[in-house]
Amino acid sequence: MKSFKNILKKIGRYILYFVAVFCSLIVVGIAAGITFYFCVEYNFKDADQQQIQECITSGLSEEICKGRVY
Amino acid sequence: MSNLIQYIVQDDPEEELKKQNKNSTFREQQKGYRYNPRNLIEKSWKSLTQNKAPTFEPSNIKADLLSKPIGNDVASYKIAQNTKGNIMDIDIPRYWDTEKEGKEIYDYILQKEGKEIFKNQNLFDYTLSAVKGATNIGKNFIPTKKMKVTDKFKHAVMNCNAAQFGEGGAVIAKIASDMREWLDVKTGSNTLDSSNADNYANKIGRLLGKKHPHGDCNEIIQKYIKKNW
Repeated sequence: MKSFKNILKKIGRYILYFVAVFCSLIVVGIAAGITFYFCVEYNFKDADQQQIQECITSGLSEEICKGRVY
Repeated sequence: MSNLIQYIVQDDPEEELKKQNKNSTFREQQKGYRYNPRNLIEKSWKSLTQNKAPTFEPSNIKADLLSKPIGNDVASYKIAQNTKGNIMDIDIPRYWDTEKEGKEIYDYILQKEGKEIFKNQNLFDYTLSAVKGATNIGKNFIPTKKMKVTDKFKHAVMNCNAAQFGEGGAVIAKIASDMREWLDVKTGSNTLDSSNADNYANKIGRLLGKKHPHGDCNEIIQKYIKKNW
């Protein structure tokens, strides 16, 4: 009975480890995703601005042009 | 409103599909019958109650019904029946700038394609599809950004690709898209209205991705959303 309790304790500890690793993976994933998004947006900023300018010169309003690019 | 009516009228979609499959041969036999469901869709009630017998000339059939449906033919047929044949007249593929137009097109696609049928996934499959969907979004983010296509098309394709992996993929796509739109509004890159219009493109993409898990998203979306300017 005592050994059984010990096994349960061990399993419980491993489940706890698993949950901790899983949660940290999710957090790291979200952080990486957000960083990636901002990096890409920053890199394409000039290209996007150029597209907006082209759109504005074609006669559309700035709001519509922004909506058509972002 | 039309969605609500459709939801109320529609019973269990799978059972209805089975019933319609059973009755399909009988329907084919009764083509000549004036009040058969196909006649009711293609013609108005008034024209059917007139003395003149209905004809099946192509000119009398709506352009919507003539075009080859992407989804299950029986399903599209059923939805048209439930909404009393009121398929909206919309010129597709098209682009939109406002939320209102986006909603209109989403409703139209919902009518044509049918409601989403949720798959029963276990926790492992759900997680796996979420991981695959997230990876797909990350992998395709830069190539899609470089594509010389309309903005709404990009939104829809990204969501469609992720949703094709399953429920988890669709949820991840929704979270990512919603976050992006929220950021766009907060940073002033986009107005709320055009952000909501983008959200309808996302929704359309997810709907089509779930409906056609093995189809080519590019081709499917091209039928509804304008690809090039």
